[in-house]
Amino acid sequence: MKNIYKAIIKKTTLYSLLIAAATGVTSGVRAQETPKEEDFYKILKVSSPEGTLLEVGGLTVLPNGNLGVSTRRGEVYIVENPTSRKPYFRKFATGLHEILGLVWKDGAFYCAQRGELTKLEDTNMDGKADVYETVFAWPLSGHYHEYSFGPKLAPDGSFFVSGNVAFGNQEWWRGESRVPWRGWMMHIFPDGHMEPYATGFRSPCGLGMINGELFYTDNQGDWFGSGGVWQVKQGDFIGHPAGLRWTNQPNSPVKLTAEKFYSFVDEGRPKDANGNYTKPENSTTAPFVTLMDVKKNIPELRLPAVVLPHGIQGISNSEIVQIPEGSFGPFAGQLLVGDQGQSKIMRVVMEKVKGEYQGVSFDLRNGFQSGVLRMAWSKDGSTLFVGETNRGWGSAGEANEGLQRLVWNEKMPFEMKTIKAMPDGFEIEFTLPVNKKSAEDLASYSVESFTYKYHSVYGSPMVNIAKCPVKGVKVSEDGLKARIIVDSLRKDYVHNITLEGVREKDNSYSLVHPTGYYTIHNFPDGDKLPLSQASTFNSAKVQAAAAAEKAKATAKDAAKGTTAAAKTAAAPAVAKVPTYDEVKPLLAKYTCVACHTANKRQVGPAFVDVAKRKYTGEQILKLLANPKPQNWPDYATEMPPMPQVPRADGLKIAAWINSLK
Amino acid sequence: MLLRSKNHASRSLMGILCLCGVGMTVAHSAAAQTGKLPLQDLSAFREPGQSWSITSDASAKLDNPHVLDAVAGTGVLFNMPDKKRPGKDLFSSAEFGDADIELDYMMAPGSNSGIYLQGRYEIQLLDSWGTKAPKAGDNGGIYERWDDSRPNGLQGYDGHAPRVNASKAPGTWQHIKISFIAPRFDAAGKKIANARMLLVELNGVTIQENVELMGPTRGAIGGGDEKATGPLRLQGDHGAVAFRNIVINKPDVSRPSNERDRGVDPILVDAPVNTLLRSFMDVKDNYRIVHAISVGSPEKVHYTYDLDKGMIAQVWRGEFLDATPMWHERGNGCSRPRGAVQFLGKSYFTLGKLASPQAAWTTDTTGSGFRPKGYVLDDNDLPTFRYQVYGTSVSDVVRVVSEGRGIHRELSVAASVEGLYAKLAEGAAIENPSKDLYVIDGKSYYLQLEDAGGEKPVIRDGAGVKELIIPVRSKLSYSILF
Repeated sequence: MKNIYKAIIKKTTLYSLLIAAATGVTSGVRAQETPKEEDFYKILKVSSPEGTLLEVGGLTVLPNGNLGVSTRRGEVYIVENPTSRKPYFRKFATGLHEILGLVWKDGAFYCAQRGELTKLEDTNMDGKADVYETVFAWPLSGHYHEYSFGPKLAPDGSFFVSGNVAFGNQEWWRGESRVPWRGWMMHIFPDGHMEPYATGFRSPCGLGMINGELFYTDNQGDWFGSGGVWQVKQGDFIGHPAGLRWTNQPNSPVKLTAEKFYSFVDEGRPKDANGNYTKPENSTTAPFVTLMDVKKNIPELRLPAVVLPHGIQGISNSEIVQIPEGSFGPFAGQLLVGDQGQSKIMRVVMEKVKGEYQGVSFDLRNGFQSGVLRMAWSKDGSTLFVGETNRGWGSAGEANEGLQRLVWNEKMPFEMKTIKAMPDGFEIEFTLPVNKKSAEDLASYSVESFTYKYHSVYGSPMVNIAKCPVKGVKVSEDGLKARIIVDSLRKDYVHNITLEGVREKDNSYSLVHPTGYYTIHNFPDGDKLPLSQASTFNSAKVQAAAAAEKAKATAKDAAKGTTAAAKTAAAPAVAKVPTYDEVKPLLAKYTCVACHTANKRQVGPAFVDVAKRKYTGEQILKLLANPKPQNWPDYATEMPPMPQVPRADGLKIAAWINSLK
Repeated sequence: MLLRSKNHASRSLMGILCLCGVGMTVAHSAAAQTGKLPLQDLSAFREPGQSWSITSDASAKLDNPHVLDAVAGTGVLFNMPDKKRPGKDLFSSAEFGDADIELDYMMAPGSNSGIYLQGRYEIQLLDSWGTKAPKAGDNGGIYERWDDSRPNGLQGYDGHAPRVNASKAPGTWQHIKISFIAPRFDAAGKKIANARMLLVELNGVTIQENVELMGPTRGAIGGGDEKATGPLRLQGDHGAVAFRNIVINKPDVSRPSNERDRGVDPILVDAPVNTLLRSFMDVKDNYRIVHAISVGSPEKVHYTYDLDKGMIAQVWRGEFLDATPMWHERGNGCSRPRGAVQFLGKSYFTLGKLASPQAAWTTDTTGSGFRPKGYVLDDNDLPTFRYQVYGTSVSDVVRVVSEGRGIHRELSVAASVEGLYAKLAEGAAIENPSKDLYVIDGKSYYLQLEDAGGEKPVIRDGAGVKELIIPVRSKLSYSILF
C-alpha cells in the first residue's frame, strides 16, 4: 500500500513539476506577494527647526548619545535626544569652510574643512565652541573640486583625511594634483605633523575605519571604471595618476613616479587637428587594459576589495560604516556603504581569503530624500542616522539635502545574508530557510562575470562579460545555505550572482534583493564539492524540452491548418513592444538605471518624460552616443555618452521608452 | 537732419538750438566735452567762485573739522570756503543730458557737498564716516525734494537713502560712479519720461540702482523746471571738498549687467552679531586666498584675515558677505564682501625676520616654521588668531574701533626673536603727517600707531611699493582708519 502511495505521490510530483515548468513557474507552488525593502526598513525624518539647511557633510554620535552634525555651510550642530520626537538642535560651531566629516575624540570635535583639520572645543562650557584649533593645514590651489574628506580616527588616536583632485582649466575632464597632497590620503597626528600615506585617489569621499583598518570608496571617473570599496595601506597606489606628482617628496611612502606609470600605461590624452587636447572617449574597438593587467607591472597598485558596479551599486559612493553587534538582526557586523547619486544604502560583506579582502555587495534600502553622504549609528544601535546632500549634483529623491534615520522593524527579511567564496564556486547563506525545491533547481541561479577598463576615459562600460555556468547546488539540511559549483570564475572579476528562482520555505517569498555582486581576488583552499553530492536538476532544461515538444506538435497542427494551435505557438513572428521585464536587464547592464526610472525624475529625466519628446528609435540611438544636455536644462548633471550600447539593444530600449505613457 | 543755410547767422542759430535740444526729444552732448575734464585751470567752469582753486592734492586732519589743506600744483579741483572766500556752487560750462560721470572726491571732516546732474538732481556728498544707518541726506543719497506748501516738518520728501553706507574716512579719496538718464520731452516740450539715476556706485558698492526721479531735488536751478540738458554742478557753499579725475561720457548702452547672477537667488550672510566665515577670497589681481576667514560685526565694519600669512588682507564697511558663489549649487568655494573694500596689500607675511632693516621682505615660509594654530573666541565670539613662527607663538587680536571708524590690531609675540619685523602697510605712497599717524597709498586710509613697543617705524622702498615696517619685540598695536 505504502509503495502505491509513494508511486502516486512521485508521479503527481513529477507531473506537477512538468506542468509548473510548462507554465513557466519554477517552484511547485505560486509565490505570494513578496515583501519589499520598505516593509522592513523605515526611513524616518529627524525633525529640525524650520529653515535649518542640513547639507550634511559629517555625522558622528557622541558617547552620551547626542548626534553631531556638520554642514556644507560650515556649521556643527549637536542634536540632543536625536531619536526622540523632539530633537533639540544646538549650534555648536559656525563659520567653517565646508565641513566634510566629523568625529569626536576626548571631549572635542575634529573635522576636515576644505583647508585644514580643525579641533573644536567648548572650554567654558557654554554649549558653543570657543577653541577652533588648526591641527594641520594643507595646501590648496583654490579649485572648487579640491574637497577634503574626513577625518576617520585610527586606533592609535591619529587621523586620516583624504584629498580630492582638482580638474584642468582647459582639460576639465582630467584630474590633476595642483598642490601637495591633492589625490592623497594624509595621516595626521595629534601633535600636528602629517605623514603622506597613500596616493592614486580621485574623489575619496567615503572613508571607513573598520576594525582598526582604513577603507575608502571612490566613484566612476577618469581612471576609475567603476566605484568600489578599497582597503588603504601605507604606500598604496589606488589608480589615479594625478597624485604621483608628489612621490618624489622625501616623506612619500609611494615610490612610483608618474614617468614609470606612463611607461606601462597609455596616458590617454588625445589631441585634435590643431594640437589641442580633446576629451578622451570610450572606444568599443580599441584594445584596453584592466587594473589587474597593470598590477603585474605596478605591484603597489591596490585593487578594490569589492567593486561596486557603476549604476547598479551606486554612482557616487560615500561613507562606509559597520553595523554594530545587535543591530539590523542578521546583518550585524556587516558594512553599509552610502551612495550620493542614487540616494541609497548598500550592504557589503567582506572576507579575507589568502590574506586579501574580497567580498560581495547587495542593495539594502533606496528612497532617501537626497544623496546619502554620511551615516552614524545611534548609541543604542537601534537607529542609523543618515546625512544627505547632493551638493549640487543631481540625485534621486525630492530634496537637495536632509537628515533622516533608518530603523529596522525587527521582522526578518528573506535575504542573502552573505556570499562566501568557495574553491569551486560560492556558498550563499540565507536569513530564512529556503524552499528546497527552488533552491535545488539550477535554473534558480545565474552567474555572470565582468570587469572594467583602466584608462583615462571617464568611467568604463562593463567589459569581458561572460556567463559562468552553474553546474550543481547543494542545500544544507536546515535550508539556510546553498553551495553552488560554478565554472569559468575569474580572479579580480566582479560576479553577478542572481537568485531569481529561490523561494523562502514558509511563504514562498522571493528574495527582497535577489542579486549580489561578488569580487573574487583569491580562491580559498579546501575541498571541492563533488558533483555527485550536488543537485544538477535544471527546470529550465525540462521546460525547454517540453516547449520544444509543444512547438513540434503545434507546427504539425499548423501544417494541418489549425490556426488556433498556431496562435499558441512558442515564438511570435511579429515584433511587439518590449515589456519591462525584457528591457530590465538591459537597463541594468547599460546602467540606465543609474540615473533614470520609468516615472520619477532622478538624476536624469523619467522615461515617460523622454517618451513625451517623441524621438524615433534612430534619434534615441544618436542621443545615446551623443547626449544633448541642452535639451534638458533643468538637470544639473550631464548625461555621459553611451556609445557602447549596441544597436539592437538600443532600439529595444527605445521602443520600450516610447511605449510609456 | 540736413541743415542747409547759406546764412552764417542762421547756421549758428541752428547750432545753438541743437545744443539746447529744442525740437528734439533726445539731446546728445554734441558740443559738451566728454572724457576726462582737464583740471589745469578752472576754464571748464562758468564764473567760478573764490572758494574754488586748482591744486595737486588735498589732505585733512581728523581732528580739524571743515578744513582741507592744499598741495600746490594742478589736477585737483579744490574748494575751501572761508570768511574771505565764501563758498559758492560751481557749474560746468558744458551741458549734458544722459551722462556717465566718474570722479574721486575728498571730504573734510564734517563737510557737506553734492553733485547735481543737470544742476537739478543732487547726489549728496557728506562726511558720513561711521554712520550705521544712512539716510537720504548721507553720503551717496539722492537728496530730498522740497515743497514749501507741504505740512511743517514734511516739506522735505522723496529723498532716497543709499543702500549701504559705503563711505570712507574724511581726508581720503573716495570714488563715485554715476550713470544718469535725462528726462525725455515730446515735440511740444511736455515731459514724457522722468529722469533716472541708473546707477550710483560709491567706492565700488552699488548704492543706487535704477531710481526714477519724479522731479528736481531741493535747491535745483531753474526754479523747479526740468530740461533735456543742464550743467554739471558741484556744491561749494556747504563745506570743504576736493575733486579729481572727473570723467564724463555718454552712457554705454551695452552696459554689462551682472549677467552671471541673473535668475539666482542671492545667498547673503549678514552680521547682526559677530560672525565668522571661512571661504576662498579673491582679492586684487585675481589672487585667491585659500585659507581666508572673514569676520563681520554689527558695527558694519568687517575684515578678511589670511591665515597663511597672519595678514589682514582687506577691510570693508557695509554689509558682510555674499556667499552665493560658494553655496549656490556646486559652488566655487568663494565669498565676496558686500561693502566698500579697502584692500591692504597683496599677500605678505605680517611678521618677517630681516637680516637688516634694508633686507627684502620675506616671501615664503622657508626656515620660518610658520604654523597656523587657528583661533579662540571670546565671550562675544570675537577671535584671537594664533600661529607659530620662528620658534615663538603669536597672538593676533583685531577689534572694531568705536563708532565703526576702522579696526584696531594688537599683535603679541611670546618670546622675542632677533631681527623680527612687522610690515604694517604697503602702498604707492606713505605719508607721515604727524607723530604716529600715517596716510597710506595716496590717501586711501590712515594707520595710527598706538603701542610701538618702544620701536621706531621705517618707511622704505619695497618691490615697487612703499613699505611701513617696524621692529617687533613683544607687543605692537595700531589702528587702521578707513
